[in-house]
Amino acid sequence: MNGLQTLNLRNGRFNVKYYREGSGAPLVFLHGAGGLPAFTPDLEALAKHFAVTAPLHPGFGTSGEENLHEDVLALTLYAWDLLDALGIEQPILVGHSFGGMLAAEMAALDPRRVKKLILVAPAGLYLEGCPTADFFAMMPDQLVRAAFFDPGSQLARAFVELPEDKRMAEEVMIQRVRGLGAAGRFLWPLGDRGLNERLYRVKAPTLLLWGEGDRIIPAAYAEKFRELLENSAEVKIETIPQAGHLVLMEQMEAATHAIVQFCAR
Amino acid sequence: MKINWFHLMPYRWLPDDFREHYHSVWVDIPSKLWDSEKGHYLYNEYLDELEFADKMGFDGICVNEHHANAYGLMPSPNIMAASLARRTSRANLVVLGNSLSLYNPPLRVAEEFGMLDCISGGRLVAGFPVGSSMDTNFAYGAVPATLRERYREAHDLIIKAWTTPEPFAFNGRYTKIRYVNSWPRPVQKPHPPIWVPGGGSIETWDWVLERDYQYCYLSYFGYQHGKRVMDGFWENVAKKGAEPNPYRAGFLQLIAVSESDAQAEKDYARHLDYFFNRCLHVYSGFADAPGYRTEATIRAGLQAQVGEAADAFRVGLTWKELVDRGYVITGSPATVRDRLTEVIKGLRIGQLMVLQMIGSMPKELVLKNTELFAKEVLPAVKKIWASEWKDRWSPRPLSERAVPGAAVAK
Repeated sequence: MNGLQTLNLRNGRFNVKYYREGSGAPLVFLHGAGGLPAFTPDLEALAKHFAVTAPLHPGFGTSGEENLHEDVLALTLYAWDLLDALGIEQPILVGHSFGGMLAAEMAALDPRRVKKLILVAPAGLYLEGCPTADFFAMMPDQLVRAAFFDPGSQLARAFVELPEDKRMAEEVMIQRVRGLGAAGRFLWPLGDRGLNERLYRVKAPTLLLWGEGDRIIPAAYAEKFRELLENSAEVKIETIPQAGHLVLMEQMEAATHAIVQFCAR
Repeated sequence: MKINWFHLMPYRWLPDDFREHYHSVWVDIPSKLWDSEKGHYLYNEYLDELEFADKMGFDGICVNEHHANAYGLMPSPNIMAASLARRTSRANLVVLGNSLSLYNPPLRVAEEFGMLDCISGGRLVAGFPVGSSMDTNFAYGAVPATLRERYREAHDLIIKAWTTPEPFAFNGRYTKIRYVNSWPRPVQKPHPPIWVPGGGSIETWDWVLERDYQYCYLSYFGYQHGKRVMDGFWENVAKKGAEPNPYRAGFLQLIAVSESDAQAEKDYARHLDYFFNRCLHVYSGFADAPGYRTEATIRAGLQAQVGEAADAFRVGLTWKELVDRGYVITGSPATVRDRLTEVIKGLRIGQLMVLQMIGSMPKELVLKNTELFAKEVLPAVKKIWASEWKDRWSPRPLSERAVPGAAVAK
């Protein structure tokens, strides 16, 4: 894969692939359950302001998924070990969806180490009467309808497009399933794995960034996060219009601008 | 050759527009479609049918476990088997089975199977399925990626509980028990025969062969589809140098016998249609949760029996197509005998599960189908393999057994 670097962690238990671009304050981007197929334009935009590191999580092009079992603590410790190995001391943590849950867990486990926390439509909580949409059970066309504010856009269609070559298409599909399966270790069955009991520990100023039309993790979850965070951390909610769950992709300029602004404060 | 009579226990009153207006028969089917009064009669009727199969001389009667499923009304197969243990006296009780990872702690399976084996005098087959993705991941919330590991650990605990004569401590990843002590213990020693129903996951073959368990493929799509899976299984047997004994393999086949080929269509066509177009109407997204199948199995191109791929060879088929493709073996006794012999030999199976209550069949047809098969087909096919191979995977009941009711009989 283009631009990917490799790091060997814990004596080969994890063979981690990651992107690293840009300069400035260290920003770590944690991707969602859909994976990170490339150093995407939103990351390019952030790399103009920050030294962006974006690792692929175990199961997403990195080996060692099974070493994390289904244990959120093991995942969180793994992520901190990775930043230690990369020499990243005081990161701005940006996490999207599943990655947002991971970023929140990291900030709760080691609160003094996170400079700023930016949760983009994070997973990890459960709101009674409003469960996270079951994206694990969605077929590609449904996923597009749920994940994008405008499912008819070129962006949305390109999102599920498969390569024409049959074998390459099959490979893409296997990688997607593999990634979702790996994320499922920590997300399935879309309940709360205890994050609601740990969020009180977070100290970093936190931005909750949401697409107004998020049909996977509805924007109502922002209030729930705020409620659990605001005793210990400064919290800001920013909702982006005309955007769904993939807000960084769909409203790239507005979303990355909000991140840059929040970090500049 | 051993022939076992298999029940799914489908709900027979799914509406005519089910396929068009309902999302899925499994996982999120609204329970308002269920009528409890009908359910009362249905369970009793279905148990009667299984008891009838015992009287008709089948080697075993089979129950199985499904959850949130309108074509499989046995969330607890052990309740069904307990009832059958008392009301039957001859047939093996083939529980196919308990989805091990769904029992908490899985020691429950060792206990309940122990009870069933004692009550029945050693007639139990202990089925150990992983369970479908619909049942385990979606209906019961089990994490897909760890399901198989959880299953294997549960298996190890159960076998150890059955074979260790003293209490012991168990420290698994999923189950931790300071005092594992399974009372009662099964009649069959060291434990009842273990059958593993599989959907064609390639790791299962190795695992089953290493333990000398029976493997069965419970297919709804007959010989042609089954052949691919069973060929893979037998290739593995050869590779491992295991004995190519047909009794180590089982297969499920839909069967509908009537007086003649033409009468069979009249009797059964609409019930087959109900089965394939309503019962198997499963939403594709539930077929195969990400992480449920291993990467190796996906790469091997083995497909789930429900969902998108299966829909392509299921939806809207005519009677003739269902018959020509061998999904159902049907017709006069002579026709069924010939085709079934082909299937048994072609797949090299020693244990056949016959599905004779299909879809919406009323009890009169079920009894007719079963009786015709028992009288006109069973005697001939039973002879297959019998002189060449020894069946090491069937129960070994006590030769003298209690008679239910005798203790208080005058």
